[in-house]
Amino acid sequence: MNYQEFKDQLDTWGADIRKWPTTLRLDAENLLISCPKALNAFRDAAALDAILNTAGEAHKNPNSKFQSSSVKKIVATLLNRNQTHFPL
Amino acid sequence: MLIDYKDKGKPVNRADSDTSLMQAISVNDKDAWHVVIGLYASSVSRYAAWILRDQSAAEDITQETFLRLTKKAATWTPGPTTVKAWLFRVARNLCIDRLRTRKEEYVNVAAPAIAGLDSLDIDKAIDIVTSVNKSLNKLPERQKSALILVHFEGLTGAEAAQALGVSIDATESLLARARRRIRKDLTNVFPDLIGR
Repeated sequence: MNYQEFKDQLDTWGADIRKWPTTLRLDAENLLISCPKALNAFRDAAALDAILNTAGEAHKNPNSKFQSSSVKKIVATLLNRNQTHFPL
Repeated sequence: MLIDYKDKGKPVNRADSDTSLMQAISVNDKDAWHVVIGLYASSVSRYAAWILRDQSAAEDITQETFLRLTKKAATWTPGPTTVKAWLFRVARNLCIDRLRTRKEEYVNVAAPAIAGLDSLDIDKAIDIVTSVNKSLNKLPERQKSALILVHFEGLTGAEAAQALGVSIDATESLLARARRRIRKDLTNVFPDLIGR
């Protein structure tokens, strides 16, 4: 794997190499050890991941109004409607 | 690999697990209905909220998606498409229909989403969520969907491809373009965090 291939995978999957295609992970880890430029790109992708994760986790937070009211309401409505249409 | 919904601890093939779940739903098995809602309702509703930026509309989309699953269950046949990917595909199509016709006022989901946070610096978190939302909303719908499905909702590349109705290669291309554009946007907002 060369630097550009590594960068393309970073752009696609982010810095969590566990999400990468399995056939590329070992090559990616080897490049990280041997190529400072790859390590810089990896750190940069990890920083972007951290920002995206913060936004994503805010939406998933079980204590947020979105989760506690909206999802409960959805589930209750679905269960009620399902029982109405298809008596269980 | 999922497990059979009624036989936790005993690993079975994913397609078998999906088929078992759908067969149970088709005969009105209440437990199966609870399982499928428990597994996917939150994720589908978050996805719809990201796309529509409207919590109320996202609730409608989620309800309609799962009602369609009830109808689909009787004719479900095992194949490459997972129940999870099927749900996201239906939700996405419903969201696109809604976007084409909607006239509702913009409602940002960032504020309610952030309200429950207590372990983060609230100001910084609001900045981040607002900036990410703003940047996401500039993306073409398919790029935005690809990023949300894979990065936020944890779908694999194959599952996202099924949900989007495109090849895995095309999905990877959508993801890469989305991340590059988001990175460019966020570098301007958070120069201390990205591109140092």
